[in-house]
Amino acid sequence: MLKNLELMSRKTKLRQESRFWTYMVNGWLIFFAIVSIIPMIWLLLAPSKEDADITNRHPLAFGSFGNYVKAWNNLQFFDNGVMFTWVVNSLWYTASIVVLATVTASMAGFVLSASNIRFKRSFLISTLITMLVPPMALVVPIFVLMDAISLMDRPIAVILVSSLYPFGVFLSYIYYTTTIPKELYESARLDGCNDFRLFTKIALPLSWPLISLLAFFAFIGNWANYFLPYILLPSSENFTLPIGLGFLFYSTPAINPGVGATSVPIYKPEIALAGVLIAVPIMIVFLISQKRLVRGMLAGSIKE
Amino acid sequence: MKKKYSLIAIAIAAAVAGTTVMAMPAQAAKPSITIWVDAPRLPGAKLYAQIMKNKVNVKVELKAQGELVQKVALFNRVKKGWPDVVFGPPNDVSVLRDAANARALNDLAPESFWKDMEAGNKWCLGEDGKYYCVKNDLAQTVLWVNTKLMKDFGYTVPKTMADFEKIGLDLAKNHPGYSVGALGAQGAYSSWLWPSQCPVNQATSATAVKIAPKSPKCTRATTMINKLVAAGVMSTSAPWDADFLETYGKPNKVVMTIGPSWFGEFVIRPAGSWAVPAGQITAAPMPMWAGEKINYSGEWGGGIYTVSPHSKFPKEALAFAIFMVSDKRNVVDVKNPDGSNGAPTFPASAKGNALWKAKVSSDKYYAADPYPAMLDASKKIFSGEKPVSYDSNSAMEGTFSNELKKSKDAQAALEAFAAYATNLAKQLGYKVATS
Amino acid sequence: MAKQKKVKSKNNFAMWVMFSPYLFLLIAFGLIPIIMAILEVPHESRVNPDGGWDAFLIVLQDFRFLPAVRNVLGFMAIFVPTTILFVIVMALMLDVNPTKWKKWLRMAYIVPAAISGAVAVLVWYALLQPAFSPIKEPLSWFGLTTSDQIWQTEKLVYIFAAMAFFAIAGNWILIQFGSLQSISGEVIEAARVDGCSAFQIALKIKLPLIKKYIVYMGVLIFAGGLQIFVEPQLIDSGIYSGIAESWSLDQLAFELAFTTGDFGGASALSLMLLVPSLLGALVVIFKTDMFEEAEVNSNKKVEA
Repeated sequence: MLKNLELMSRKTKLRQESRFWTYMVNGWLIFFAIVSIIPMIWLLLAPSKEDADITNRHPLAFGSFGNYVKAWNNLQFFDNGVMFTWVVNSLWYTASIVVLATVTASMAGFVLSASNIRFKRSFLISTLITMLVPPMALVVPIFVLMDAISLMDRPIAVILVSSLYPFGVFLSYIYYTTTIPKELYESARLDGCNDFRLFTKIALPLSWPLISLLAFFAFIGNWANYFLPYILLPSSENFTLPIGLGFLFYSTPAINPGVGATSVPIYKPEIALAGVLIAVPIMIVFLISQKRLVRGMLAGSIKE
Repeated sequence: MKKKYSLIAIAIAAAVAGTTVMAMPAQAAKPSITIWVDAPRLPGAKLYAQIMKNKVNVKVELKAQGELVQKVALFNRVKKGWPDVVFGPPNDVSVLRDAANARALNDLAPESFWKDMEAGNKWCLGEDGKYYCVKNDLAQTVLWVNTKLMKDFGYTVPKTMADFEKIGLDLAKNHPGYSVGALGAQGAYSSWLWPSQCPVNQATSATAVKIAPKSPKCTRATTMINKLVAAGVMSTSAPWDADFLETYGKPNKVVMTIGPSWFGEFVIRPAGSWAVPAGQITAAPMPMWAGEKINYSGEWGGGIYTVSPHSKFPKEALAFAIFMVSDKRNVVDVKNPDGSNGAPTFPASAKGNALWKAKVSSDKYYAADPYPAMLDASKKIFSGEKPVSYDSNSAMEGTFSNELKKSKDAQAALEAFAAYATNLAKQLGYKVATS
Repeated sequence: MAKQKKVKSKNNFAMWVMFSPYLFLLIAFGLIPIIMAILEVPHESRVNPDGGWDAFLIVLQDFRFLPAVRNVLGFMAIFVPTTILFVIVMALMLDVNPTKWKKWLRMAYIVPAAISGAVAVLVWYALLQPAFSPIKEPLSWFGLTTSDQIWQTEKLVYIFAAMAFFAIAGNWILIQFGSLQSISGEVIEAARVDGCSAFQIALKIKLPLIKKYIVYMGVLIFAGGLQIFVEPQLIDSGIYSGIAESWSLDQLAFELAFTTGDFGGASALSLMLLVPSLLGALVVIFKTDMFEEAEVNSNKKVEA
């Protein structure tokens, strides 16, 4: 209660100080909010229009719902409905990655927090390093590896590589360290619990907030991933939606009519619809889990 | 350096071919081939798979032209996955030969086929006298004319480049807002530099290339482009860029433009593109440069089929290409998704071309039959330009088009291209001549 | 003593079992690819016909290398400081903003994060297309009315900076806003009583308190920016052919590998690009207390 009061006083600070600055700050915050959503609104509305109307009508005008259906049907025209395969691929790759990454990371984080295994500090440091180096830096080396072990053009290659989830391990480590007191493990051990049961009976039941956090970050990191599947999965039947969207750019007349205007009915509305299919799931996840984003990224450095 | 590399490549290819032959089962199984085509070729390829169902297993895969070379490098690396026959952009023949992935084709088809292709397949002829690809279509440039606008403004179709320029400058003065073409993408190269015989990619042997931007054959083209751009009647965008479409294409304000033979069906006619109404468009011969005896043409595209040396069934692979370029079922009859029929571009095979002529000549869309001008230009494609082992088309669009957009100076743009292409060529061991 | 030791090793067996899936992924896809890439470097290729470690030198001398360095540095010089500054200012503004609909602002800010990779290329192609852009009015205020004024190689640094900015700014605004929330109200109140203005509080009190998060953000933004690939690659291959040929360093690595077939050179370049990212990671881990909870930074703890 006292804390709430303090927060209140802090927040009204600006208002007390200057009405002018309050308006300026508010105006700017609202302006940037509008700027932020315009591109998404355009993208959502583009498939509702005919191709010519994208240029002829107001950019943010709405066409009709029928055009979404038409655009989807036209996408099906492309290479015998390979689009549908891409949707399915994206779903099952991402689902597999989310599951594998979440399971391996939560177990590893638990081990790091609850045990004294050898090299623990080295593991922690290498986890932090791997987490801070962008995954793209390793794409060419990973290609060299996948070629050597003949996993090229096999979805399992992308799934395995993407399941390496050092950020998830770090999150789990912090979570278990801060939420489960060591004494709990000790007493459980005295009751005859082995380490597996320590994890399944004590840690896991307390981990649902962690699991949702891990799944959230695994999803947003992999749903729209481009570089890795682009290199490891060259066949179009193995494409994900983002790779497929890129493929539509350079193989249909939507943006480059030189490619062959008469050959496939893929124009701007169709390609925008493909974009919507990628962007909307991730937007929804973001909107409903924005608290997780903040909590996850600041984990280990802010005590709640 | 280059030579050594290709020797290694040949050795590898031979070794791989040897092992695959040994690995082949004794009894003759039904051949299977994998075909890669781009979207416009897809209906024909699928039709072929259907027709051959009982004789050959045909797997058709849709690929973009631009990704071909990358995928081949990948397959060379992982040593599997090569498709048997691919459709790709014309310059790929040299790149693919360098990557040991385009085989000589002469022994795979009867002499009659090569006879039929003689005129159209010069691009594919290697320095050793063998064909390394089959040209699908010719993309020779012609002068596309809007007869209605020409008549409204009282112009006659220009026979010389000087006339072309005069009309352009007159338009700027008396009818502002109209256009005589767009230079973006490969427009400037194929419609201007190449027909003007400007040495841009003049491969004089497998290891030497002439890139001479200061040649008078170049400067006459760049000088004229500069004048027309400065007058505001020629755009530095591509003919399908949204702003060109909005300002000139859709309002039907392009009076004439030099463009490849596929412009009519791909750029001028489609509803999503310029959508010029029926009865206004036709093709005329290329205007002639002063002092020349031949009104040369250039090419923009004009794809090729190559057969991989890794193919176990090269004959069957080539048979597909033969079907695509000369069989009536593809050239005239195949159904395209938009409702049109037949191959969309000017077939390189004489036989296929005769079939195609009947289709285009009777097309009521055109104000006058565009075929004679196309046929004439197809025989006058300037043959100095040759395939090179680096991606000169991307370099052209990246450097020339970009510099032109910025500076509006075609000569400076050409020199930027020349500098970049020279680097690319040298890196692959080419000797570069500049004059 | 002996008994206890035995128990411990038995316990650790289970721990190792739970840790091993992650350890396998970490070694297989974090460490081995780097070793494979190193081994790949000296292979013979057309540009390095005699093979050997010259590959590093040959890459450095490639005529596309310096332009790519210039492009990436130019892009980062715009993108990194702008993003960091903007994020901090926005987070501070959001922090002092007294309104109730702050929640909606935060939701709006996170929307552009859903537009990444291939979708971002599509959306920005549309945004910067004066013929049908939803922002064609503002573009025309700057005299931009045709696409050839915008889509020039020299302007790509700005375009990519804008794309990258919108893809991540919203996330980081929320995260830094979160970090500001962690500052205790008492500190702020005390400063206010001392007569500090809102501006002074922000500068003198809030900023120093969230310094480590800003460094953390800076390193992640820097490391990500260095690896820019998808945007130039897709624009080059799918939209304006040739406009961004070998524009970024990752693209050059890709180009070396998959156009020239020079995997040694590509690996050499990837390894060189890894170095700054690794350094950044080490700085965050050992020179800030970002990960103090992880207890990897034992030296520092002792000093403190």
